[in-house]
Amino acid sequence: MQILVINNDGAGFANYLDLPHGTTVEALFARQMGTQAKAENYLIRVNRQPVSRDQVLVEGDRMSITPTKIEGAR
Amino acid sequence: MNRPQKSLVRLALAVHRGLLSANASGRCIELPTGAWQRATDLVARIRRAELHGWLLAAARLRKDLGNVLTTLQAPLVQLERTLSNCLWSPYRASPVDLYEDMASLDEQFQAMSFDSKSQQLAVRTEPITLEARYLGPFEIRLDLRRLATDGPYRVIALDPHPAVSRDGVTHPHVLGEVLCEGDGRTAIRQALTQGRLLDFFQLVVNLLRTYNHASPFVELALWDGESCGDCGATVTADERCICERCEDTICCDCATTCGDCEGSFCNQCIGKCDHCHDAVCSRCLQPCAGCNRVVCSECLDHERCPHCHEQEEPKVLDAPTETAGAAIHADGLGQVVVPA
Repeated sequence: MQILVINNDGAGFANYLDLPHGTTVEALFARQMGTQAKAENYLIRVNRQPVSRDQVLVEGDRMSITPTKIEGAR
Repeated sequence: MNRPQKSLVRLALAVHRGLLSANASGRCIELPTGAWQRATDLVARIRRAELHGWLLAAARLRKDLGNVLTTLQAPLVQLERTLSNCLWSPYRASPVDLYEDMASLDEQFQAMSFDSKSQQLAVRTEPITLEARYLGPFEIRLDLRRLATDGPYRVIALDPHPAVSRDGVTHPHVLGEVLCEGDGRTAIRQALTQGRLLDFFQLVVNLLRTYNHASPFVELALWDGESCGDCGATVTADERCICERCEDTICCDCATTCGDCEGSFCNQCIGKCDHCHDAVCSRCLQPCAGCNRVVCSECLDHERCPHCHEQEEPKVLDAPTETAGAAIHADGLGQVVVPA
């Protein structure tokens, strides 16, 4: 199935990925961010809505990952 | 804010047209022209300050230039990395995506508005508080006509509580309604290029909610201003002087200029010539080798102060007295009788 994945961490990335059916939000997050990343440090939305980590993604979903803390500068 | 669906549709179409126009103008690859212009302006100001002998001002401007050069490096490095790592995405928001973004913006933020005349889309944040410092709510205003430029949006303080020392700093990372994006810069640019408006506003809000201790325009600890080290008065940026010896902050009234080196010093680091009583810094005061008083370079001559020079002037000799019967000392005899 194809999912639009938007990763707003670092450079920002938005592209369609082919994923196996049954992929959960938690699994895709780990795939994108690595196993060391903590979900509580990110705003994770599917189709612009907050979701639980065990929600199963379906064809055409749009998942975004945005860090909650982003450091500005001067 | 409840908005009829029809107006959101029109809004989405208007934004989509703006995005198409921006992308057509070649925004995909963006060089930091804004930061380059700021650097160019600073160099001109440094030259002017040096020409006029405004050394402190020149030093501060050089520091600002260093900061601007840092902001130049990061996007260039990131662009090079993006191009070389093929991170470029073909994704572009459709009118449906934009409509859904704006419906979410309306739900998630305090207020969303669109000015069709100026083509500006704005959202309002909640009141921002960082480390117990209340900064008030901000409006993030995105100009759809300027998406292709370096500064397409502004961050406007709606209930400003700016830093005392710099009233243009309404947030540690906002100066003159411009947010210094730091780590968020590339993601923000990508979001705007691709038309992901919800992501754009969310990124900016998350930046406003985060305090970077290492790199603010004004530290939160100094938000209420710095105090003059001598008199204790609050010092604004315009009135601020730095003692060249101890680097303490002092106000212009308390800063004293050394008569020798012309530097500015605080009351602790400035002294006085013991002879002419001029203000001279402790580095320029030198001890007199004769009396150990400390004097300025004007008063010190061959390691002696004027007072010691006066004391050492040779005395005028008395006229020789006659001595009766004294024999003229014959060269070679060695002795002569001298009456008592």
